[in-house]
Amino acid sequence: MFLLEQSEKLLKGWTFEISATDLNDRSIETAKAGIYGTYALRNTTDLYRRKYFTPADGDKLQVKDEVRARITFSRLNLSDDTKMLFMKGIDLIFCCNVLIYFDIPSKKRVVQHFFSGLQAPGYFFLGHAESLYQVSDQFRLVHLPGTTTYLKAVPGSEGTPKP
Amino acid sequence: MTTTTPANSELRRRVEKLRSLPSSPAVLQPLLDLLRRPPDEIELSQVVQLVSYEKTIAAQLLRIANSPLYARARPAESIQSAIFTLGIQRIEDILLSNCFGKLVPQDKWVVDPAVFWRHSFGCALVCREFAERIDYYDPDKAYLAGLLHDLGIIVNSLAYNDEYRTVLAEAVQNGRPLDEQEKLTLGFTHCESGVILAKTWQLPDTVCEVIEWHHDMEHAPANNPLIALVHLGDLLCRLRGLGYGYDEWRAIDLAADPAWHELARHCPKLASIDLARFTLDLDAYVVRITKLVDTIFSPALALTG
Repeated sequence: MFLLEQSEKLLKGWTFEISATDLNDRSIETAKAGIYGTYALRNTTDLYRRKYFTPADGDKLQVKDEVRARITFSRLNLSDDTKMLFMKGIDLIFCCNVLIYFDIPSKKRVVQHFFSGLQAPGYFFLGHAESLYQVSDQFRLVHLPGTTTYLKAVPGSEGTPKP
Repeated sequence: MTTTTPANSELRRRVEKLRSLPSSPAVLQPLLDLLRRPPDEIELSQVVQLVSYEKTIAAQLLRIANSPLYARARPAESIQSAIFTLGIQRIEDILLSNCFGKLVPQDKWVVDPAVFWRHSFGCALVCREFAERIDYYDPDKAYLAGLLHDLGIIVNSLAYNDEYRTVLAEAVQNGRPLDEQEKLTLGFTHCESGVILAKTWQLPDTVCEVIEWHHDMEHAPANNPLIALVHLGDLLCRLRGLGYGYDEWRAIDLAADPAWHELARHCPKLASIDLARFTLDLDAYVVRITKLVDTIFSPALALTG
C-alpha cells in the first residue's frame, strides 16, 4: 500500500514485485484472503483504510484486489537450500520473528541466503527484538529514525549510508 | 581548534553578558559539586541540605515520589522517605531541571523544556549504561557529561532567542540535525556557545571538552574517550525518539562513525557489543524517561509550592 501510495511520488517510474512466503499452507491462504480485524489494523491510518480496504464480515476489513494482485504468495521452507538459491536481486527483505525458531547453524545458513539474495545496497529488516549478533557480520547495522535495519552495502562504500 | 571569526567574537560578547544575569540559582554550584561525585560517596545529609535550598523543590519531590510512577505502598511524608524512593540520582536530575527552569524564563525556551530534559536525561542514562557495558572506567562521569552535553542549547535560547526560534523551525522543516542548522543560520553551533558557559561554571575539563566537541569528532582532542561516548549516546537517543522533538531524516551506521573507532581504541570491549540488542534495551529507557519528565513537568506539579 505504501509502494502504491508512492508510485506517483517517490517511486515514479519504478516497477515493483512483492513476494510473500510461509512454510504453512494455511497461513498462506489466510494471507491471500487479506482479512484483518480491528486489532491488526490499530496502526493503519484512516487514509489507508478507506483507500485500500473494503468492509468484510463483522467489523473486519479486506484488502482490495488491486493490492493483493501485486503480491505473489507461495510456500517456502527457509531451510530449503535449493529454493533459497533462486532468490536473487532483492531490494528489501522483511523477516520478522521467524529466525527465533532456528538454531544458530540454521540461522547462519538462512541469513547467508538472504545476504546472497539481496542487491547492494539492499536492506534486511528483522523483528523488534532480533539481532544478527554472532549470526552474521556481513551486514552493517543501520539506524533509521525509530528503527534499525541491516544493510548489505555496495562493496567498497564507506561512511554514512544515504537514507 | 576554535577560530576567532566575527560571529565568534559576537557570540563570546553575548554569552559574557549572560554571566551577569541574576538568575544563577544558589543551589546550582553545590549541586554540580554533588553531581561530580560517585553516588556511594554522597551522604544523605548533603542531599537533604540541597533539597532544603528551595521550598518548592521539597514539595515537588514529595509529589513525584508519591506519583504512580513510583507506586509506593504508603505515601512518602518526609523528605528523607522521598529521597529513598526516588534515589539520589533522580533527586539530582529533578534539582538540575528545576535550576535550569529558574535560569531560563518560561518565554525564553526555544526547544520545549520537557523535550530538552527528555533528551538530556535520556542521553545521561544511555551514556552511563553504554559506559558500563564497554567497561569505561567512570560511568558516573559519563552520566554527567551526557546530562550537560547540550548546555549550549540553553545558551543559544537565552542569547539568541529570536534567531534560535528560526533555527529550530528550519531544522524541523528540513528534518536537519540541529547543529547543522545552527551552523547554517547562526554560523556557530551549541557546542561553541555551550563551552563558554561550561567554563564559566568551572565544569570539569573532560565535560567541557564533551560540550565543545561532541558534534565535531574530527577535530576533537585525542585521549578523551568521553567525547566519542557522548557523541554516540547522543546519536542513539536522537534516533530512538529522544531527540529535539522531530525526526531527523538520515540513516546512521554507528560502527562506521569515527567516534566508534576512537572509543574502541580506549574500550576494546566495544568491538564485541550486540548493538541491535543494546538499541532495543534503550527503548525501555525512553518509556521511563518520558514518564519521569512528564511527572516533573505535569501542570498539577507546577502548581505546588
